[in-house]
Amino acid sequence: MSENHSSVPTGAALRVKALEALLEEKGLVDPAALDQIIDAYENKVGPHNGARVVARAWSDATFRKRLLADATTVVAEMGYGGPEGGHLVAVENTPRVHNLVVCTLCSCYPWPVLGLPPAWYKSFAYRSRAVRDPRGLLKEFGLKIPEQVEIRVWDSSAEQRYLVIPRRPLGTARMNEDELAEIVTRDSMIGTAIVKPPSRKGAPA
Amino acid sequence: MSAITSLSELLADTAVDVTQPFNAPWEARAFAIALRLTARGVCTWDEFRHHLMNEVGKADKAHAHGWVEPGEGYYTHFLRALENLLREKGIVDGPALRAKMHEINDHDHET
Repeated sequence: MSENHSSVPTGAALRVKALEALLEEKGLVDPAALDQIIDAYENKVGPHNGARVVARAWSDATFRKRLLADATTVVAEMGYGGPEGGHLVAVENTPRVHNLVVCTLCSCYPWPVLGLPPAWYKSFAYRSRAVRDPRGLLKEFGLKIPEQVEIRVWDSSAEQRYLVIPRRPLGTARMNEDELAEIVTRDSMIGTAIVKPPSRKGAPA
Repeated sequence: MSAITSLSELLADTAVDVTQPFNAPWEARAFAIALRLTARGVCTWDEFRHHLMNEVGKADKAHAHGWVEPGEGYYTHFLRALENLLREKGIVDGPALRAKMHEINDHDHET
């Protein structure tokens, strides 16, 4: 089966190669600039940026307030800019509310803070169910949200992108911002996971 | 890779490196081309997104009827959207693209 299907990516690879060659002839793209973009999204821009934003929000009440009021400005001040970063909204999880982010029509995502979206975020299965059945969907991620907790689903668009501020786990009171940033996961900032307390060596799981 | 339709299958698929945004070099290349064109002012990201939504929407409709095109994925929609945009802008049309593909193919076979 894979023999047959391997012709599809090969075709796509050739198409892209041809497109790039044509655009290069027209002076619209150049290989070095493309390499730079790929390197940025493979190695530099990613959820570690968002994790720093969340860690600071957990550590600094004033920052948290500003972030919730105007995430676009606050995140830009931290140096996380670039395309698809405009109109960022931070939504905060509380004991009563769990936030979940989706883009039902395509793949809008806050690149500067989370990088490019994972495959499942772009899948029909995720996009078609997040609004209809968020509780059931989250169960597939291994996340059971109690009935009394409201799930708010945010549908991203060209106008607005969302960053979930997950709840700070118990047992992290002594951790500093750097340590906190390390336990914040990508999925917790999309809303398909919660942040777990760090596992201590020798302690039972 | 066969088409994966359910979320649990997708989440359990160990062939996909969840830390990497691209599954193949051509996906990265297509993404970079689109982004570069917006940076150069050839189009806006919203214009591109409009074409992307069209392609994703078409695939969703087929998907809702239980049909998944073999080998189809996000970046095949992405690439089609890019081709549509370039055709609409009068920058690269179908015949030019096919001619270039033949040229590259012939060249690769000669060497």
